[in-house]
Amino acid sequence: MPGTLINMLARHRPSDTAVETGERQTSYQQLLDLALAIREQIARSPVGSGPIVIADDPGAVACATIAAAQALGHAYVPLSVSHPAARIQQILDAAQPALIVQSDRTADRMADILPGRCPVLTISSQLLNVSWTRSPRPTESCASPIGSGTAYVMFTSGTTGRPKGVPVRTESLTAYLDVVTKRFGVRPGDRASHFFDLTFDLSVHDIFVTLLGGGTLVVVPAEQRMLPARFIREKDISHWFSVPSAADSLHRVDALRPGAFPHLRQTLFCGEPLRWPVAEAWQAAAPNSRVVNLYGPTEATIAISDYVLPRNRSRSNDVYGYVPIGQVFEGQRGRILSRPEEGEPPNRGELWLSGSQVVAGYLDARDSRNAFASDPDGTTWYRTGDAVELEDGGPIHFVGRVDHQLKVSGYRVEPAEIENAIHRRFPACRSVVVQCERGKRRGLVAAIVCGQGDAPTPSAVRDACASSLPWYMTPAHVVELVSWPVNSNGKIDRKAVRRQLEEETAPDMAAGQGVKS
Amino acid sequence: MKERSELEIRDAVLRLVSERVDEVPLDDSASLLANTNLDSLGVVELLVAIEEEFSVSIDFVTVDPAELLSIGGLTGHLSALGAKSSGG
Repeated sequence: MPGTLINMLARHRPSDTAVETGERQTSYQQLLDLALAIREQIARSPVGSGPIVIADDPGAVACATIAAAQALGHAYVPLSVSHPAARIQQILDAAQPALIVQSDRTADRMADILPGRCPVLTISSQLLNVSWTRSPRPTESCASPIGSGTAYVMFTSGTTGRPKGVPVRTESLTAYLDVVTKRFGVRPGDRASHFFDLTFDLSVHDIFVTLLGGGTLVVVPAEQRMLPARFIREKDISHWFSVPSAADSLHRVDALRPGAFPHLRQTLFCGEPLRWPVAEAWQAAAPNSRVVNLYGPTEATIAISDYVLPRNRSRSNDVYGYVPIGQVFEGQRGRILSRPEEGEPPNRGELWLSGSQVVAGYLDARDSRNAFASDPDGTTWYRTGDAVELEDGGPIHFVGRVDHQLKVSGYRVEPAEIENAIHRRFPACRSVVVQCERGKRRGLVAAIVCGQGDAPTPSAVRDACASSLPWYMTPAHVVELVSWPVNSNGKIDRKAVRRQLEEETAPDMAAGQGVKS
Repeated sequence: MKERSELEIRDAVLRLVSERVDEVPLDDSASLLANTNLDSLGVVELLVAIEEEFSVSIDFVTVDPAELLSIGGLTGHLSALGAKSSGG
């Protein structure tokens, strides 16, 4: 890595804009001053060695706090204040932070949630004032499972009904940044999007790559993320990074017109499979941009493989629906575990990853059991759960999942976590959550079958989810079924559930088709 | 094909919204993204259905999507476009 963030902030032109949020611009000098002020407050206070929780939306406060945390050797843990209190509490319990940094924008919301004893540092959104809302006391710091050497911890959906903490080591982040600052770097004068929420690890790329390079980080407001064409043009974005969903939506409403984004020079996509027609329409809309498909689970530090869209599409691409995920970064390792007994050829199977970018395990070792494997020589492999195929003499292609995991706007969603939340509130009901891509109901759909009594209303089911899970895990639709379709082993056939829901055309379903209204 | 009045446009928008949400927000200025079960995918599908219903093409390269996230915003935008009845 070129240096720590705080050192690099000092090297850029002080008057250049580092972070732009709406009309508000924060210069490199202002961001550096804020980072130094936060560092000083923390350094001269008796806080423990645990992580620094950041409870704010993307912006200058978060960037400065991350720079200060890195300079002090603390890991950081992002929180989204829009998530339910119960979820935030689970994360705080697991992380045992040394302190929480909030802004005056999020202070009211956090006041209802915060544990009584954790120190809280509040930063005014005018960036002028850093003060303790609850001061640290020497005797109160408690041991955290997150030690030094960890850069950040992201919490993702887990099958057990509680979020899984992924602790990413400093050396992993350094290895990632070494590759991407060379390949996809940003320079002074460039304007790079800050699309991702802080709880999504792709935000780490936005912040580090842009600020290490001296560019301007332009925060994309939530209401612009859905259809960002006007935003890209109006804000003169030169470097765009988002989930493919944003491009998908623009393609759907015919906004990817040839030449629409003449100023874009680099586009990165990551977090979901990228479909060919969408990638090609984006390339035509941004003729001066390189378009790159990145791939990588949170457990392998942001992204671990890349594929640059060729100017001329090769015919072999038609075999697969998605743009390839490319080659694993130099120095990292991937292997494909095929199951010949299920008729898989040796070049097709689950992708396993190893190397300095791959985490050693989850924060809670119980979560690691089935996800990590060790070779006799001690090499740790992360089992991604992604089914891939290595094209003969070519790149790796994403084919699908080996389990039931879903992606919503790039966020990982374990259906079991949603199903557990529904079952806890409505013990008489069993549910199956699927993702519909066709028909009237698109997105996450919870199908429920209730043993006795009246079924809960759709909004009651959604409320049960919304009170304990992040927004992206709340089903858009709830449908009561008469009975479950089962496979030859007598298990619920999830694919059949999805097909059934996708084939239903009426907005309110009539009984008699296996679906109750 | 005759031009629809703003009231007729609102009614048609309301119908398309109510086909897709559990509960229609009472406030015309409420964001459909924040106040209904529609997610971004659902809103995009709604916008596509609205374009079809009104036989209009919304230019998302120049229009601010934030202005189209409410029943009031949609009605206003479609009125300005001079939305016609579909099918005449």
